Amino acid sequence: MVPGRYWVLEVYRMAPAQREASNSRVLVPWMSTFGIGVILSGAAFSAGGRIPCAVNDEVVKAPRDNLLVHAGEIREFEKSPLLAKPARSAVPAGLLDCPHSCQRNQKLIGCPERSLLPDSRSIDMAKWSKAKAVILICALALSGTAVLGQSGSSFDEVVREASVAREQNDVPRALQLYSRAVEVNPKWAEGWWSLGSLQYGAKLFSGARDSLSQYIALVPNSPSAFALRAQSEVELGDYEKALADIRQSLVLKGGDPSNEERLHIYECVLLTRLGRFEESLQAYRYFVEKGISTPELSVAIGLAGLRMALLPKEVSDDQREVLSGAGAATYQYMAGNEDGAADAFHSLFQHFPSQANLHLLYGTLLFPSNREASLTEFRREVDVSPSNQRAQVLTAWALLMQNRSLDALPYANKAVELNPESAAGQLVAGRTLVDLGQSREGMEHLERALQLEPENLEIHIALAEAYSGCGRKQDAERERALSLKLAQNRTNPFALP
Amino acid sequence: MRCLDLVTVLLAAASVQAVGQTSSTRQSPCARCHQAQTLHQAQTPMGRALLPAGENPLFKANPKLAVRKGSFTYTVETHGDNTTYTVSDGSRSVSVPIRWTFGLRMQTWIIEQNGNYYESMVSYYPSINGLETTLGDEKLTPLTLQEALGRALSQTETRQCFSCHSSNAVSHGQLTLNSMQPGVTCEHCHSGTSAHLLDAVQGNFDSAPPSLKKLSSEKISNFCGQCHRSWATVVRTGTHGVANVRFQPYRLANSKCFDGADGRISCIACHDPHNDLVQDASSYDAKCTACHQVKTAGQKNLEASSAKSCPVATAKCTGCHMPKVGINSAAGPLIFTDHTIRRALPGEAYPN
Repeated sequence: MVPGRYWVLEVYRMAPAQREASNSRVLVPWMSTFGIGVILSGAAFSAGGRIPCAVNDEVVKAPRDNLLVHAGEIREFEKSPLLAKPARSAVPAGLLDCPHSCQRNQKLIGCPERSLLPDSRSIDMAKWSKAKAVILICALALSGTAVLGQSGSSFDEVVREASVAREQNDVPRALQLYSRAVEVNPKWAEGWWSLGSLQYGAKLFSGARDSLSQYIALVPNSPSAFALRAQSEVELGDYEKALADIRQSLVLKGGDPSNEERLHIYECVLLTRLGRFEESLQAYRYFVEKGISTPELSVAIGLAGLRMALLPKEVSDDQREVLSGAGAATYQYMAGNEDGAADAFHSLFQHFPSQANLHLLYGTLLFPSNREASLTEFRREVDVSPSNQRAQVLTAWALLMQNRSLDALPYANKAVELNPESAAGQLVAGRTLVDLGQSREGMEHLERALQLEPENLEIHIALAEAYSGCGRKQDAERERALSLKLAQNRTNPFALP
Repeated sequence: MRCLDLVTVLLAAASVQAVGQTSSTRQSPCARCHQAQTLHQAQTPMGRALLPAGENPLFKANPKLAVRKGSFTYTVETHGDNTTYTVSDGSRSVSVPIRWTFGLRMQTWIIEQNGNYYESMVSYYPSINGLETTLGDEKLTPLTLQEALGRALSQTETRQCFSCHSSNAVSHGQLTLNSMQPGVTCEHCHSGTSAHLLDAVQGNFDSAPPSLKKLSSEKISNFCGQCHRSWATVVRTGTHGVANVRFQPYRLANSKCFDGADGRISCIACHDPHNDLVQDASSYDAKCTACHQVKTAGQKNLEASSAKSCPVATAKCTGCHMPKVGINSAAGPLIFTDHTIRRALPGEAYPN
C-alpha cells in the first residue's frame, strides 16, 4: 500500500462462519474506488474489483464479507497507510445487539428492520455523513460506466450466494444476502419475495410484512404475496389489514383450491377475531357448500357462533367442547339438516344451560325461515343473560318483523339502556317508536343510529320507511336511493341488524 | 238464540277448516256480516292461489299434458280427481300424485316424495296451453330422473310457498298441512278472525282485527309485501333487472309520486283484494286523477295542492305511465304491469 489518498472505512465484518460481528478497518485507495462495486444505498460494499485494499492492515484483493460501515473518511497518507494507527480499535459496546428498535431479535444479524444500515447511536455521524457523501459521489461517477457490469456481477454473486444459503437452509445468511441484494436492486421482485418468505419463516413478521409490501408494489397481482403478507399481519395483530389482504388474495384467485380453502378459513377466522360474527358465519357457508368439515373448523365456527372474538389457537381446553358442539350444530343447520341441528342444539342447551349466546346463535340461524322459533330462542337468551344487549336487540327485531311493536318496546328500550352507542340498539328503538306512531322520537333514534353506523343498510331502510310514512318524500327518496346503493353489495337478505 | 248462532258459527268455521272442501262451495263464516268482502274473494286469483287435488279446472280440460325437455319426458295425466306427474327417461319413469297446484293461470306443482318437497321442473303456461320449464329453472340441467323430477325445496322454501299460497299452513314455524286451507282466506290477512267470530256472536266486537284500511300506504305496502315482496325485502335480496317487476310494492315505492303518508297511492287505493283484478285500464284513471287533476275546458288553474296534470292525455293513464314489461320464460314473455309510475319514454332502460 503506497502513500496517497485513501478511503478509510471502519466497518464491522460479518463473518459468515461465526455469525458474529467484529470490527475492521478497511482501506480503499481513493482513486481506485472507481474499480470497486460500491453499494449505494447504505454502508455495505463488496470489493469485487482487483485493486488491493486492506482489511485490518492486511492487504486483500477482494474482501467479500459483509461490511457494515461504522465510520468513514478520506485521509491522506504520507506513508503507507498500513503504518498508520487505526482510528478506532475497540468493538463498541452493544455491537452484537440490534441497533434498531426491534425488541424481538437482539442479534444484529436477525434484525428485521434494516439489517445492513448503521446505527446512528454507535456511529460518528459527522464521519458517517462524510463517507456517505463520498459513496454518493462515487456512485454518481460510476453510473453509466463499465463498472456497472462489475456491479452487476457483484449483484449476481450475492443472489447466487443467497440462493445457495437458502438451499442449504442457512436462513440467517440467506436473509442477510437477500437483504443486500434488494438494497442493491430494489426492483428485484423475486428478491423481495424470497426475503419476505424467509422472514416469515423465521418469524420476523414485521420484516416479512415490509418485504412483501415491496414485492406487492412491484407485482400487484400476486395472490400469494397478499396471502403471506396477511399471515404476517395476523402475527403482528393487525387483523383489519390482514383481512383486507386475504380478501384481495381471494379476488385475485390464484393458486390451487387448497390455498383457496386456507384463504377462506383465514377470512372467517379474522372476521371472528374482529368481532364481525354475522359476516363470519356467512363466510363459513363456503365450507358447508363444499362439504368440508373438520374438528378444527367446528371450533372456529363455534367461536363465531358464540360471539367470542378469539383466534382458534387462543381457545382454552375448557371452552373447546361447547365451541366444537356449537360449531358442529351450526354446520348441520347450514347444510340443510335442520332437524339434526335442532337435536344438537337442544343437547347443548342441556349440557351448557348458562352458556352465553347459545340460544342467540340458534335463534339467529332460525331467523330467516322461522321467525317465531327464532323469537323463542332470543327470549331464552335474554332469560339466560338479561345484560346481553345483542339478545335484547334481536328479540325486539324479531318482534318488529312480526309487526308486534308494542311487545318489542321493552326490549328495544333495554337495548338502548344497555348500550346507547350501539347502532343496532338505536335502530330497533327507532323502528319500534315509528311503528307505534311516535315518529319524531323514533326518527331521532334512527338518525342517531345512522351517525353511529352510516353504512348500515337496515338503518337506511328504516329511515326511508319512516320518512315516507310521515310524508317527508324527499328525505325518503334520498334514503331509498342510498339503500339501493348499499344493497348492491348485500349478500344476505336475512341479515340481522 | 245466541247459543244456536254460536253452534252455527262453529260448524261453519269447522267446515272452512275441513281440507278437501272445494273452493267453489266454500262459504266463509265471515260472510254473515261481511258479505261484500266475501262474496267473490274465494274465486279471486288470491283466493285460489293454491288449488287442491281435484279442484283444478285445467286438469279436467286437459286430461293429458306432455312435453319433452332434453332427455326427459314430462306427463301430467288426470283420471277422475287424481292427477299424476310423471318423468321418464325412456326406460325408467317416476310418477308422483299432484296434490297442490300453485297459481290459477300459470301453474306450478309442489311435489311431495318421501317427505321431501320439490318444485315441478315444468309448469303449465296458458300462453301455449302446455307445459314448459318452470320460470327460474331454465338453467338447471337434470342428469338423473330424481333431478328431473323437480327442484328440491328446502324446508324454509316449502314453508314460504305454502305460507303465501294458502292459509294456516304454517304454525309456530312448522309446516302444518293438516290444518292448511287452500288459497288466501280471510284469516290469512285478518289475523284473529276466529276469536272475533266467537266474540261477535256474543255481541262483543272488541276483538275485531285491526282495520287494514286505516294503515298508511307505507304500511299497506309492507303488509301486501309480505307475499308480493315489500320494498325493503327486494332491497335486501338485491333482485335487479326486470325480474323485480313482479314485486309491485317495491316497484310502487320507487315511483316519484309514492308518498307513504298519502292513502291515494296505496295498494288498496287501486286494488280491492276481495275482488278480481280489474283489467280495464280506464278504470284506474280516477285513481290517478285523485292527485293529477284533469284540466277542463276553460279552467285556467288547478288547485295549488294538485300534482301536475298530464299534457298528453286524460284517460288510460296506466297505458303510458305504467308500461307492460315482459319477463322471458321458456314459453315466451310473461307480461307484468310495471308499478313504478313514471313518464316512461320509448327505449328507456328499465329503472331498477
